[in-house]
Amino acid sequence: MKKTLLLTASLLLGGCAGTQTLPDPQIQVGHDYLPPITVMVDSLEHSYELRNYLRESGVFSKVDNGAAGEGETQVMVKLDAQRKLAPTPLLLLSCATLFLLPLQNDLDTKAEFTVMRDGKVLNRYHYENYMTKYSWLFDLGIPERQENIRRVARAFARDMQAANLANKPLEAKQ
Amino acid sequence: MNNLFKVGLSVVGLLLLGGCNPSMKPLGYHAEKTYVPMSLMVVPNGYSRFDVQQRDELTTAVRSSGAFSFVDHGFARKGYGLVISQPPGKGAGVLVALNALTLLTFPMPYSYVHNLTGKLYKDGELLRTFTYKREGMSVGAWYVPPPITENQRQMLTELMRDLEASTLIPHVSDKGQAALVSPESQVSGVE
Repeated sequence: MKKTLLLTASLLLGGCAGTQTLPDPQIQVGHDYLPPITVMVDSLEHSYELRNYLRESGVFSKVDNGAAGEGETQVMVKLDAQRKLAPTPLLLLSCATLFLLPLQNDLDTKAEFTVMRDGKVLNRYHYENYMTKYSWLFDLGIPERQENIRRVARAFARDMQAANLANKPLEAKQ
Repeated sequence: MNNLFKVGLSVVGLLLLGGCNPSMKPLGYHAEKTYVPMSLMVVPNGYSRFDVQQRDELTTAVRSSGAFSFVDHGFARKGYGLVISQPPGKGAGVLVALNALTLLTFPMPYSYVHNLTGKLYKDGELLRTFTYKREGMSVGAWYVPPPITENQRQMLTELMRDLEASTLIPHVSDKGQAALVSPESQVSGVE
């Protein structure tokens, strides 16, 4: 009896771990902060989240929202984060088992970052992160969903750090 | 017979629950030119499920007017920002709630006041406040759609018209912003 329970529990816990297609970006530490960026995110639910993860990455000296002024770096983000839930009959079935039956609870994120200055496009970055997750009563998959957005933000921060675009004068890119 | 009755009842129930949801019709305003990228915020920004639903509905309605080239969500300290709020008015009261005893079948009359305010900010400074109000009578019954949806639609339409008439927000004419709208042009580096 005990063994069965343990096996079931470990299967439940192990099988429900979320997977992300985008590996966790490694951001180099010890560099100077990049100049401030002003970020606009076209997403009703995740705009605050994305900006906060950009701040948290520690790459930029400041992350503002809104429209950048003259000579400042503007980042426009088209963020498309789609939740994919199990079909309703399965949801009801899981509900009947008090949500002990794990259910599909995926989040697929596509993000297009456009880096601009004074109306000129400096660069574009595109990221996709697909998350697979089975959630149940004691594991609703909220940290995994946050991690999904976080990795996208960090990947952008890493690439900005590598390109060092914000430091370069505009003439160099024209 | 019994089974037929059950099926009929569930169909009627589903229709009542799903088919009668009064969603907002498109605004009576369609923009010719788009504004420069700006921020849009509908408050309250979600304390309850109802707030979130309201926020999403109003945001979708305003965006579908085609007036915005790019919308950021949140309050911006830089650039232009529009904050839409609905100050408390007056709605159906206790009598209408008591009407639940008749399964909301008796047409219980009530008077309402619906408010809507649009505040336009530039760099965090208030530029102008647009205020709208609707007053009237309605009855609270399941066969009468609540007037708030249509009132919101009318007030949002007026807000968008007044916003264009005020010419406070510049339109997209700049080459750079045009590049943002049509991604093919002006790309100097692609990853």
